[in-house]
Amino acid sequence: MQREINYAYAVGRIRVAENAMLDKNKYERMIDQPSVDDCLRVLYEAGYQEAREYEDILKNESIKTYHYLSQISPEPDVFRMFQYKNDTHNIKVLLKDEFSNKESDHLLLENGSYEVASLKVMIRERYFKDLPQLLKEAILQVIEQYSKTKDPQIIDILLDQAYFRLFQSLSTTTRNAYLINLARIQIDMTNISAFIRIKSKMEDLELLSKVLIDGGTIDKKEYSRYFQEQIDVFKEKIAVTAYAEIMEQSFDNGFNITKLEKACDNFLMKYLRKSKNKAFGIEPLIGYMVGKETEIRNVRIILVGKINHIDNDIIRERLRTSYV
Amino acid sequence: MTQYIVDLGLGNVFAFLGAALAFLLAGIGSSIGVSIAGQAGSGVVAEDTDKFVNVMILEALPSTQGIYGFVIAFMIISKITAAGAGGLDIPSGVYLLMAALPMGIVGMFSAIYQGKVAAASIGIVAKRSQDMVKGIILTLMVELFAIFAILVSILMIGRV
Repeated sequence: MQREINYAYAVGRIRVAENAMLDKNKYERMIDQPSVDDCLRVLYEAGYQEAREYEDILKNESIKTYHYLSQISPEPDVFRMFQYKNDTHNIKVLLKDEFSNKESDHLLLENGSYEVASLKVMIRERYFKDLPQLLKEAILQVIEQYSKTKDPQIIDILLDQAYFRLFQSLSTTTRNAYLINLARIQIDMTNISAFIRIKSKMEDLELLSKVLIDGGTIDKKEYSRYFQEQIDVFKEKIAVTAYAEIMEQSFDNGFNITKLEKACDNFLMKYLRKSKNKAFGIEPLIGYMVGKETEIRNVRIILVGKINHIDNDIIRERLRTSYV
Repeated sequence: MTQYIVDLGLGNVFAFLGAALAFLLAGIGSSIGVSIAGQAGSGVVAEDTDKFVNVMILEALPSTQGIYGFVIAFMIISKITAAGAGGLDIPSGVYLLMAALPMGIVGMFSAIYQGKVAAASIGIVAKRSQDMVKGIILTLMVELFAIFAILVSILMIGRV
């Protein structure tokens, strides 16, 4: 309990910070604006820093969020395990660039726990001492296997595996049930998505068993078992788990990947919102962080939609549930 | 033997122990309660200075148990003073010690728990300042039991 009470100050700050987050009304207001510039004005009012490119605005906001949380939290290291996701993404991009001799720096994310520049050096010099053991091993495996198979898929597969294993082991060391559960939910959602994706593309079981991640609430063997059956059998199986609504929403009026992604995001948001009003503990901070990430994604959907003159209703449909 | 203990003024010793416990426990509880609420409050004020007054009122609520503990300690000490040179007899001393316990123990726990409710209510204020009264009412629900505790303690002291 004392550990949770240590969060009283941070939760107090989050309570006020949540007021500035974009809610449904503010999204509506943005969508109703005639031009991109008017949209940006709404963003500036909500406290986003001005910048010339809209990508920079979003990037700064995301960096600001991580910085803010690790500043106010009594256990700042916890947020690092979320930042490793961006590091993993960057490592993937850098490795792919190296293997195919191109440069796609625009795909790199600035808000990882390692600076992009130092990651670049690490990959170039093959110096991985500063990386977490799991990521380091994964990179070495990727380099070794790629030189044999030349199959770019293994970059994603191995690094994703490593990231989730890292996330899970770090969440276990925090001994915080909420974080441990969060890791399980993310693994389950990733596995379910992978299953549906691979199944709908009619690919083989071998790929699925490579992609599936250990440590979820649904055992890996279950997926392989249902892979031979019709997709409906799998749907029935999921319908008795907590993830029933993901299936319902993504198969509503015909399946597509976008719907599945949105359903997963909304499911996670629902889990986070349950603990939003806790007075103590790390939950409101994690909720704020993921809520802010979702907000930035929504803002990007709106801005990209506005720039490309996409119909307002389609933009609305793509938006994720907001945290506030 | 008995005469020896009476000469020692053991009744007074018990009574003093009671006075000390009443304030010690209630005071510890209040300081913990106020500090919990204060941490939440300073988080809110760090983001929004305008909420200072609302936060301060809520933060102060768990301090009452300390005041009640002080009142009980004061009443017990005045009993000792009233007993004069001979001091209190042992039964009276033990009664006063027991009378101090409701205030001390209930005071301590209610102050800590009230501090938690106050911290949560500061969360309400952070969202909407105009809902402060609702937060105060929720926090005062815990106060009720501290008030009962001081009443029981006073009634018991009155019997001595």
